[in-house]
Amino acid sequence: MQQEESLYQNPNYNFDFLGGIDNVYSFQTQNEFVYEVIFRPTPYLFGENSLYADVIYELIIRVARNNSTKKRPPFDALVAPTIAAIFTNFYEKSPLTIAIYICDSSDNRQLIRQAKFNRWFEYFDKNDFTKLDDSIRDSDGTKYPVSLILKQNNPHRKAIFWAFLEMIEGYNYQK
Amino acid sequence: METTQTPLTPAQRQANIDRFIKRWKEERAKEQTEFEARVKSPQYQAMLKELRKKNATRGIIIPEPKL
Repeated sequence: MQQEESLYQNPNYNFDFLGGIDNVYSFQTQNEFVYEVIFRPTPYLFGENSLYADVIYELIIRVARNNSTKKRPPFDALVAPTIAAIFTNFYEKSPLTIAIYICDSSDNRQLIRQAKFNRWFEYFDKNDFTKLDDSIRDSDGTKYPVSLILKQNNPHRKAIFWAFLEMIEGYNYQK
Repeated sequence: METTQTPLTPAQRQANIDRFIKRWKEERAKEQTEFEARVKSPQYQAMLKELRKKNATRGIIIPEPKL
């Protein structure tokens, strides 16, 4: 999948698909950060017996290694298009994929993560992908922003969004 | 999809959300363990080295990690 064209033609970092159960992609930046983009199977989202159980993945985007002296990655114009290219690559292999992005709140940076993800999503082809945003709140009062991303032409798009909203409303399935 | 036909009470809804969050956290913890092992592997380091070479051919210079 490597991009052999020039930077001008393809303004993103080269990435590699490591595969595995978690569908791990990796790339590294000029600022010496290594990123991973992971599509981890999440069949329990709508219930293990759901029609969609086999195509639901939790999207994880993380800094896997920081080889720099900076605490956090500085702005890098090539990161967002690289993530978008990885998305396109994965959905080409699995067009019915439903990706859910849940913003980790363990360090109270969930809203920052949400804003960053929204900025990255700006680089996605809007004619190709669609995103539904909402949030869930646990009984401790912690709010988790969540996004569901799928292809615009997913034949089950409306039903999936409906099921997602139902889940947000109360995770309404029989266990 | 198996959905219940009767409306859930607010308490039932919240319990379901809490179950989901709990399961999600458990899965993330498992994934974190797998991640730590993966990035330390020689194969991973070799993959990163190969990516540095490929980026360099396109004019993107990524420094070698300092040991």
